Amino acid sequence: MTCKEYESLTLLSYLSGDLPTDRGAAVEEHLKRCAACSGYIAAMERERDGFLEAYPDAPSVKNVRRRMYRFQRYTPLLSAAAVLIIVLGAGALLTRRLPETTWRTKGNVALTLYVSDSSGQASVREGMVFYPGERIQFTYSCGKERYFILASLDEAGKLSVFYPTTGDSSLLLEPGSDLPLPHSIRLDDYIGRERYFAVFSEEPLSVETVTAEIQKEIRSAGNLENRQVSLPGATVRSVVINKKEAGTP
Amino acid sequence: MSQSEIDRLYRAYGFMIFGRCLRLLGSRDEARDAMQAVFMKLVQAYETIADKEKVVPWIFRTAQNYCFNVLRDRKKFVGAVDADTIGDPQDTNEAVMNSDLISKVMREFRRDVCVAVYYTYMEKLDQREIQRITGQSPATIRRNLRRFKDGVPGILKRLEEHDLQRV
Repeated sequence: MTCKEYESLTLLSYLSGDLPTDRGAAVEEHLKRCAACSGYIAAMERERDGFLEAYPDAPSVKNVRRRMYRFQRYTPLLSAAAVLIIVLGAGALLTRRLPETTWRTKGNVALTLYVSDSSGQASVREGMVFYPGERIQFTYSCGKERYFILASLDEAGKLSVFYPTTGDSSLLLEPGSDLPLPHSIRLDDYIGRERYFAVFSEEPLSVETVTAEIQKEIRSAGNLENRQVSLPGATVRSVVINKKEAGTP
Repeated sequence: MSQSEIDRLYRAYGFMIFGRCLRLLGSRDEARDAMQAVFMKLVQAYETIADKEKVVPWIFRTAQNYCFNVLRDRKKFVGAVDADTIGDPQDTNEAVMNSDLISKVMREFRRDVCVAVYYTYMEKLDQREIQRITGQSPATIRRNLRRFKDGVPGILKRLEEHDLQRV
């Protein structure tokens, strides 16, 4: 605990070395006469030292770049056109980092689908065939349209909402390009076609309203094929995957 | 960003990210993964944060959002939870208990209530600090804490009943 003069957030900034010089000097002066704050700093220093002892290595620049652009390595596969990659975007290739100016423009949103193997490595999948129990991982690109809903509808009419996972309002995403959604999704046992809908908007939308609209559009079409759902104030990307029994090509 | 700058950020902020993640997730392995993910975000965002005094609140907020999403999805994808997301014997009891508590709270309350509860009871921050991190005004924080307190007896009752059923 700290005293009333300095918040713990400020003391942590001081400890990081990022406090402006004058503020840092004032904190330093304060620490000489405040047992509570100097005790807090000492405790944080111990925590920092323990952390650095357990995990001494910072990521290398190489790893940072790899992680920030983690799917760039698939570019050659794309150019070879040897694989089918599901890009639910407005012309944005999945492995290409969109220019800042581009992804800030309304409408330039994208969602990309990968399949994760047991070691967590994401890879593209030939065709659009997936199997129960497999994990799929999405990456997204968005700028202003940061509110996000991800839902799927299968041929049996079953609707699943993946993001947000609770509540009835869109999830707020960090803006950027090709960023991974927090979690992979394990595919259930349903066999058949399933369409995923990614809904990006500038304002939060009601999940109930969005999913009702999706169900209505699909019902009126009578199938999952080639349906583009229009929602006012939102950009919708969608893709169909085909889920087959394990061992089926 | 150069390697030396990444190293400096890691030494300065890595433990803060890890501490938040461990407190929320309760597992060192999972906290380490979360720390790495949040640290990458920090590397991306650091130069865009003009006022460097805002870096620490940014870290709290980003780590909290990341971990809340992990906790939330533990619930949704309960069948897909990896073994390494479960607390191991190396973890402190406090971290595991905190993680368990916040998971249970998240099942019952809205995100903004959970956020107020987390910063007040787990991080033990005052309302000014919580406002700096979350943007919730002191009145909103108090309202959210009241919602939590009002809801707790019913939740405890349900949890106890659930535990009894499990026995």
